[in-house]
Amino acid sequence: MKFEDSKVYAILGPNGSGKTTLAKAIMGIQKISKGKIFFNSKDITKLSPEKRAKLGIFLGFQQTPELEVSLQNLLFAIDGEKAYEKINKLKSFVEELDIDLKRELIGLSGGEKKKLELFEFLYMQPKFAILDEPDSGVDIDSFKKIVKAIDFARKEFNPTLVIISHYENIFNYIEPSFVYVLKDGKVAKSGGKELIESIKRYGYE
Amino acid sequence: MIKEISKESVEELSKEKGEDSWMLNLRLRAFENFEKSKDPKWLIAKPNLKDLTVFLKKEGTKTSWEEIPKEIKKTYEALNLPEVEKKYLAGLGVQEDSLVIYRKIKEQLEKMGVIHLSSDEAYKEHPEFFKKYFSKLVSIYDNKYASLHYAFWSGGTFLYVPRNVKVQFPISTYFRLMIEGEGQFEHTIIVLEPGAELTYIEGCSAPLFTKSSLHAGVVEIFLNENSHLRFITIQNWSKNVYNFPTKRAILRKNAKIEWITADIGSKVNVVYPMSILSGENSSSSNFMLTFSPKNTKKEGGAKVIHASKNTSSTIISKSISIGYTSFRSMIRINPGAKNSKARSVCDTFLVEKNSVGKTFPHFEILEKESSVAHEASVSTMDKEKLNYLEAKGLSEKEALEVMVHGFAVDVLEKVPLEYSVEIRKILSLEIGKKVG
Repeated sequence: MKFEDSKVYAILGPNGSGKTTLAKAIMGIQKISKGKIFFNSKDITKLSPEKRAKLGIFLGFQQTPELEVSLQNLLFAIDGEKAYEKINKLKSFVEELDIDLKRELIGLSGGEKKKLELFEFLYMQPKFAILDEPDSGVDIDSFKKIVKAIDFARKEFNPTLVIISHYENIFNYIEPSFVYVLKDGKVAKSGGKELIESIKRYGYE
Repeated sequence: MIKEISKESVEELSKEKGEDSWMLNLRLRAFENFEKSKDPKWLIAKPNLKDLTVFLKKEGTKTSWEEIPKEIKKTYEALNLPEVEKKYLAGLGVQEDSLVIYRKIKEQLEKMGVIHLSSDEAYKEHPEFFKKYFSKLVSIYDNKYASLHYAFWSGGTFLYVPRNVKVQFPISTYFRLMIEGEGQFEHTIIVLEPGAELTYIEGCSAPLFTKSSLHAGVVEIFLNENSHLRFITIQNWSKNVYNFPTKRAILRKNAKIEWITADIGSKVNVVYPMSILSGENSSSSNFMLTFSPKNTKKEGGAKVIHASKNTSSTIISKSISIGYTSFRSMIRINPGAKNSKARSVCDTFLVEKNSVGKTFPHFEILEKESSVAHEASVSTMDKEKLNYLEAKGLSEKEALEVMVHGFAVDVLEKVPLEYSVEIRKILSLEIGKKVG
């Protein structure tokens, strides 16, 4: 699979087709048995997730684990004092995404977790971002806010964006330039955005 | 002067100190009881008493910097302490500047009528006053290690705050340490007269060097009506120490105590500060942080006796375990202690797969019109959390650090800033060792 600078990619596929596994493999938190991963022509297959993150690779998790740490302290651990300045620049999104910087990341609702991941995405300004189901389980208001945050990111730092989703709806708002369809851990189909339309009509078969 | 544990050593110590016969007799009775007592059931690890020696400090004896264990030196380095300060925290001498500060504080306290002496001085200078409180709350027969304490007690702090005096700055043993050094069986007495307020900090922010392998202090606290004490302990003894202190407070009407305890150091540590709520509306709260690095065992906990109406107690315990931690509490609500409330929360964070965290809450509720609540939780640094934090750009060590600090924050925010900063550093240092 290949992802080019600043383009948007959609990854679709039925449950268990390997979408999240692929995302984790790129991030380095899923071991791979075969193959190699290159980032800007550099072989990163053996790099730790931490180093990949520092190169500018980001994963917005489908499920944020329960963490007895506030977002503020987490960002402080990553960036030190600089974190406050960076958060300050995103003030409007702190409000927009209802981010409570001081609350421990425990007992967050599905929607709150999605917004948290989106906020981290804006904060980190990665070169390459995978958003794993940023739209699942969120209400319509949150959905709009998430789309708005993604739009902002594209204008502001224009990353390569890989969106994994079950729902085609998000691609009506964020247009992909390329689509991968996974099945049984393999790329079953790939092509332009018209692929989404055909899946909508005929399913994955 | 190093002596084995014997009746002769007790007699010699008492003679050396030039004590009266009542003190000598008390020491001997305590020693007799120590010899015939069995180890308390709660003891999680026993020190080898056969090899135990007591260190009788003679005036003017000093240890050389070369004798300080390497590990402690390393910790001092990590804390970025200047050389002079390191030496002096290790008990090697007194820094002139600090002496000046100490004298200023002493003057200020004297003006307020506060008595702040070492317990040895208090015994000599105010014998009747001292006798009124000494061993009145923790009996010489309380437990085996309290008996041993009374046989060999030396040093410690005596603090008396007169009626309605509110001491605005925390008083710490730090200042005492500079002058005296700390004994291994120090005895601390704090008396607050009605309406008095005080924050007392016991222990040191840097690991104390001690030659001794057993440390058994006793703390007796008397809080009169409407008085308020914050008693902060930063325990960071070196890792060859068994620490079994006995701490107890009795509270009159409307009095309030906050025990804030950070147990970071020592090899084996067992401590349950006890509050006896004997006056109406008195209240006790415990905030504890217990940390067990590898190969250490820590038991923290609290005892509260609700002996009057409308009393309340809170225990918040946070244990971080690489080795072994346990939480043990005893809460009793006496008959007639109507409308009393007790609440305890104990959370454990297990750092490694084979880290141990146990809880032993014990309740004796003898009054129907009272309420008791207990919550316990365990969290771990599992693969999922670690993966998440690494993916966000943290190393394994940083990930553990952020989790541990996040977990400890409820207690750390109760500790004065300079101490919490150093506790964080020590936690990070130990976690660094774990991760390699």
